[in-house]
Amino acid sequence: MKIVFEQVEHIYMEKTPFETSALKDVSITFPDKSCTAVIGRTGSGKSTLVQHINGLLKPNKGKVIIGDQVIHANTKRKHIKSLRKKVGMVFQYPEHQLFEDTVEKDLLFGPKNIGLNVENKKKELPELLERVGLDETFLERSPFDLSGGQMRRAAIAGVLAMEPDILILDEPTAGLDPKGQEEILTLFKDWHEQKKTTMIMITHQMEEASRLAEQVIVMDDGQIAMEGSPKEIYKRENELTQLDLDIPEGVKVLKYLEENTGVSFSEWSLTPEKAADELMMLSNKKE
Amino acid sequence: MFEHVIIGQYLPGSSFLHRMDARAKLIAVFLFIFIIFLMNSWAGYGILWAGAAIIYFLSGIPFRYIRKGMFPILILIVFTFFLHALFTKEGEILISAGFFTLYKGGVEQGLFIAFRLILLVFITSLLTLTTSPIDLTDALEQLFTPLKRIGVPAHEIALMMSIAIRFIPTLLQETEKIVKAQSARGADFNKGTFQERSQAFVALLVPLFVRAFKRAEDLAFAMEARGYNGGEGRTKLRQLTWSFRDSAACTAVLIFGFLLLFFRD
Repeated sequence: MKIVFEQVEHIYMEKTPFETSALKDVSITFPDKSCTAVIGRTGSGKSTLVQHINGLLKPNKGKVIIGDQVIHANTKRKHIKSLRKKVGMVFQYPEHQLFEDTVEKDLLFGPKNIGLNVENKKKELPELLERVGLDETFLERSPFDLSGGQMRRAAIAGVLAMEPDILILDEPTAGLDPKGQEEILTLFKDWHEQKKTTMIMITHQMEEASRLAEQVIVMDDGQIAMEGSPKEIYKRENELTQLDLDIPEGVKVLKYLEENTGVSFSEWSLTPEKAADELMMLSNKKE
Repeated sequence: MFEHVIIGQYLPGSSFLHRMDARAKLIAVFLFIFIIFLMNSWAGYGILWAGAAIIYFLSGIPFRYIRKGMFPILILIVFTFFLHALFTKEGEILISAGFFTLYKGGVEQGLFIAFRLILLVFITSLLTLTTSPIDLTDALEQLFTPLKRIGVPAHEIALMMSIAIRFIPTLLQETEKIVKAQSARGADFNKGTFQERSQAFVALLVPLFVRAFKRAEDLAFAMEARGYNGGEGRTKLRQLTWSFRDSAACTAVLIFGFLLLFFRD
């Protein structure tokens, strides 16, 4: 499902001394079935931006178009509610949203709210749990007895169970160990490839952005500072550094090699294996 | 979502009231409340209103903040007014219809009580709007310190208060976050049958409590790790300073109170 922001402006606490403008005249398009990473330092407006997509926030000015639905400052609540069926949102630390006494009930909370068939859904749960790296035996357990990583997976499954057309991830790997981060990313990557869900992920890490996304949006001070493919964005290292952002380690290494040895790689976003192959080829040529 | 909650909200500024010592403000507010409760005549309340107006102008707070703070207790005020107006049987009869009679004394009594409540909320709102919570608890702690001798745990009370105040915005944020997360999962807090809505609130309250307990535990560990062992011998980064202005303000309220005694019936 395609998402279009048209000159969206959002102001928190309007008409008080605490007034802050979080989005300033933002226009952007997220193509259907695309995967976009939104990066930027804390307070740059990333979360504010994505919360407009399922109507948790409404623009003070401008409009957001999601599929065939338009949201502007005066959109009524009942129109927004139908959006919740289309847009799934995994918040930062999603494990904080668990509340039922069994994982099964918690997974069914979302589907029940948006009117999916609960009996059918129940049958799909074991497969879903497997997808997020848990298994059937977890259905009967209390979510509060799980480990941190397992809670995160259960909470993510709770959002996936709603079968959203658009999936929004707000730093889904925050606070996990490297292996856990890797697994969660792979899980979303597979989901995106198989279900063709339009996906938007907020992250601090270029590394994650480059793994998952074909389009990267860099935000700063409520505005869109850069926009393009991960490769295009890496090239603007100086600008990124100014925004307190960093390019991935792998890219750094290749860049350093290029600058200091004179070899040139076909592109900077190579996997270590491919980079090694290219190096071998180059050195063979020299000999 | 909770943008408009103003429980004990502090509005930074540099007015006369903002610059007063928090202890002086507490004492002055206490005296003022005392006067409010002593008053029982029209003239007296008239002068009290004037006094309150002067204090309001010294605060530099936009009126809509006061209005917002007043709104929640409006029902209470209206209710107590009617309670007194209908059940006090004194003075001339104003209206009489069947079993229902309205006496002049009753209406008067009702209005006085309403005035009292309004002035009370008004003056205490001004206190919290012009004093930062930290200053307020510091002032309370210092004012209570003499009572330590008779076993009042002044420091602990102040600590509990400052922790509670400190965590109001945190818990509101947490609430907002969970409300958003559950709304994103299709929960509806505003519409639906009673059962649907109570289900939505369970989905809010359970995580909120789990988080609050977790936070309390973390805080206790953090305090222990930094060697916190009560207020004994502890120095303060922010010193309260009592100046001439503060003595003058307290004296003014005191004299105001004395003069008003002549207007009592």
